[in-house]
Amino acid sequence: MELSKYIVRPHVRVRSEDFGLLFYNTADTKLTFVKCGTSVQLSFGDGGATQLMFSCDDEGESKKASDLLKRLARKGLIVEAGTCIQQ
Amino acid sequence: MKPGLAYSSNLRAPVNLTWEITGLCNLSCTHCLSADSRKDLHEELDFGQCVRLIDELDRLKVFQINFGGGEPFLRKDFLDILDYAHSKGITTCVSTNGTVLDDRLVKKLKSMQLLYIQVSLDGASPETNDQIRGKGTYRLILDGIELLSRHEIPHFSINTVVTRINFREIDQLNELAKQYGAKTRLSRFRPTGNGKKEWETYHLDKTQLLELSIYLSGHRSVLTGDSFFSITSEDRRDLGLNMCGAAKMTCSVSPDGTVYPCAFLQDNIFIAGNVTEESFETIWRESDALKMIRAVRIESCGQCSRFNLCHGGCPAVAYFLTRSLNHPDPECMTMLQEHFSIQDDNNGVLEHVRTI
Repeated sequence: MELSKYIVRPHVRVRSEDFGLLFYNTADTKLTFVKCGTSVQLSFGDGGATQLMFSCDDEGESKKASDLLKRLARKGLIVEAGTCIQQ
Repeated sequence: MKPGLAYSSNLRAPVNLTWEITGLCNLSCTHCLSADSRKDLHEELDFGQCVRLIDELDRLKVFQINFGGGEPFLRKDFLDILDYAHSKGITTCVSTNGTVLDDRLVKKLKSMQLLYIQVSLDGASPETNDQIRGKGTYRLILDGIELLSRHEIPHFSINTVVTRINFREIDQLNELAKQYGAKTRLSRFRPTGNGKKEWETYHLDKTQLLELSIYLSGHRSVLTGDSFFSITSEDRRDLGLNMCGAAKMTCSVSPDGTVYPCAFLQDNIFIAGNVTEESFETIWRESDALKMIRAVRIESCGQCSRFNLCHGGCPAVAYFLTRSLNHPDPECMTMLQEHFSIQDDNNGVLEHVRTI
């Protein structure tokens, strides 16, 4: 299953924790805890953009990951790569 | 894979850090939490040490630094420290007494996109505020608030430590904040620093605590200690984070670099280390003092119907009043419930559970 690529929005910071990912929105200082283990990895690009990488062969897990990424996008934390970002 | 009960092991780093950047202050507030720990005003990290600590916080991805003091703006290189933290993408929240703000400084602050600013005001009238913060300070603080409002500083709140002295003015303070386009934050008075001496005079009685809880439940826009971690109370419950955040999500650094679990737990037994002697990361992961706070389990709270709402409350209040960490928060809502014989109709959970 081909997953869309997402990048973290410029006003959002994220780090890995044992449970998964911890997001912080600088616009309102709100935290978002995402329990996803190690299935979603962070990749820090040269240009400062943080990309979310997903690796899993299981189709069910891929579907869950896809849904999760869409939810995070709806919350305004990440955006599909290639989308024009208005700061 | 979904947002769920996440907090089962320690975070790799705090979410935010309270950093008392200087001991210098131009006021002598009667309830100051830092006052009795200011042994030597010159004992503070130099600029290079501050930069190194910020570099480490950046590497650990600490999201936010809450700067306090003393009065942070009395430190000559403070704006450079703020600029440096912002250059790393770290959000800062500065707690100021507001009396040293001027037009030039506020213009500079307005240019800082990652800055949140909080001004302390302890009464809606000069009589009340000045009794706590010093004669003539009400006017000076209001001048500072007016400047921040005039320059439309976006992230701006007015903080009040709630005491018996100002308890009747809470609603006026909230209205005053709205008038200036600021948020209201109500903070809990704790028996730390100068607060130890003033505890009997200032702390709220049980009736006032209940009234305050009802007020907060009816005024959800008012920020409290609950909002410190920027998670709603519902999220805190879902995440298993409805407990004191000391040593779990936050910790505190004093002007000389000493690390404590929290700014309210500044006592020798809580010293976790010093950033001039070892890395912050080592202190966060290995210090006995932080492990001790993380391990606190209050036996008498184990069977309480409200345990999942508070996990025993604030250890600082319990410790400084009882000298024991195995003691429930003396201002616990369950005790209030028993005191007032309030009928609970929600599995032991009081309807008015919002506290500071």
